[in-house]
Amino acid sequence: MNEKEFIDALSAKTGIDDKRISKLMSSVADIVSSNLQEGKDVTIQGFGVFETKKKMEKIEVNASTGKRILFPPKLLVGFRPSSLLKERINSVLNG
Amino acid sequence: MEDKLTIENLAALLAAKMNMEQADADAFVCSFFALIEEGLKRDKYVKIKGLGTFKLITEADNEGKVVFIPDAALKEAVNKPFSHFQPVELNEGVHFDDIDENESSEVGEVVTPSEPEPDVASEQSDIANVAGPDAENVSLNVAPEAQEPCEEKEEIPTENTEGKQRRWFMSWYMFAAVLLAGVVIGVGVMWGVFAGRSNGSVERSNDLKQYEEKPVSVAPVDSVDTEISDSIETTEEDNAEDTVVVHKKAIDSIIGVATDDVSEIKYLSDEVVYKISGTLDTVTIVKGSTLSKVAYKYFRNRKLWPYIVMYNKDVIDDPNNVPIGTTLRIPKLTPAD
Repeated sequence: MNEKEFIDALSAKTGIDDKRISKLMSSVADIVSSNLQEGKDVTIQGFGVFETKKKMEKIEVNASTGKRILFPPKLLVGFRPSSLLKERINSVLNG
Repeated sequence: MEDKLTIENLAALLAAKMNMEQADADAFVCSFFALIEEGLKRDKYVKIKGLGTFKLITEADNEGKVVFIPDAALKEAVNKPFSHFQPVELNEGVHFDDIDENESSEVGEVVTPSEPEPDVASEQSDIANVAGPDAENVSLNVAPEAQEPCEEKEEIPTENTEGKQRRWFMSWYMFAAVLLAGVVIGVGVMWGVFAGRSNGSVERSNDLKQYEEKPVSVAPVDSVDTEISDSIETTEEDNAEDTVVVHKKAIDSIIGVATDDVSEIKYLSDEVVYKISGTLDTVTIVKGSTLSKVAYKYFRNRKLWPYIVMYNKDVIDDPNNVPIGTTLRIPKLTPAD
């Protein structure tokens, strides 16, 4: 389901027109993004959790050349689906 | 505020931002996530701009797994604090204590989820002692330019594949190094073989055959006719052989074979049958000397050593083993016809 299909479907479901849907969706994305940037997890009950994980800086040593590369730390976005979502999806998948 | 945003908070924020009723916002947010779920069930993927792509991956045991790949914009926004870092190669003498801490405050603001801990898994022992914050200062100092971060498509799975790729490259380099070493050794062996050939050990069997084929025609003749031999020497040698002589001299100077008078000794072809017309010189075999070396010294042609054997039948029992100290008479060779 791509962006357009999603907007159409959401429009049909809520009765809000496409342009408004598009704006609302980008607002939702903005809110999620800004909260993640502040280090807050975004918990959607029955759906899952968006969270940030910090990956530490590390030094990797190339065994053959002896070069040491320093990799900078990183903040990554992760999503953990809730167990309810997993169950519902698996029930659809398996019958 | 808590460090957690629930669906209710999200709806409230949305309502405030978009000037809409709280109830409408609640309904919209609920529909939004419900539709993502529907989309996953129907198409196994949902792409939402600004957020990312949800994918449903069916695993081997028929278990569905929801995977979220964040949009590049979201990923960059979240990683913004570290986005200007990029992997840097550390020089040998880098000591983390030497680095000043002017820019550490920037890092301090940024680090929220957990305090840095040294990741010692793949580090050398000296690096292992360094605490996380120091390491961050290094990265601040070494890579001050604002640059794109090293891109990574997924979170944890990709980390592993990156590691594997690195290891794969490592093994590739090792393979190349082994290959190079093999080539070097091969060249060395080839050089050794050819250098050995110059001692006549390899060619000896061939020369013996030649010797066996020719004995009838190489009848020793005692009469010495210098005039004839001289004239034949000059006429027999065509241009090709002249150039050969030049080459032989060049080689001679390179390999440093001891010769008394290079200019006077002419190259004798081994394609011509010679008769022996007297004694040219006498030579005593010393350590390291071989019949082919002696032949080269007097005839500029290693292959002519059987003539020396023929002429010295009385002292040479075994051409492959001439004792040191044996005095040989060097025959004067004249073309047979």
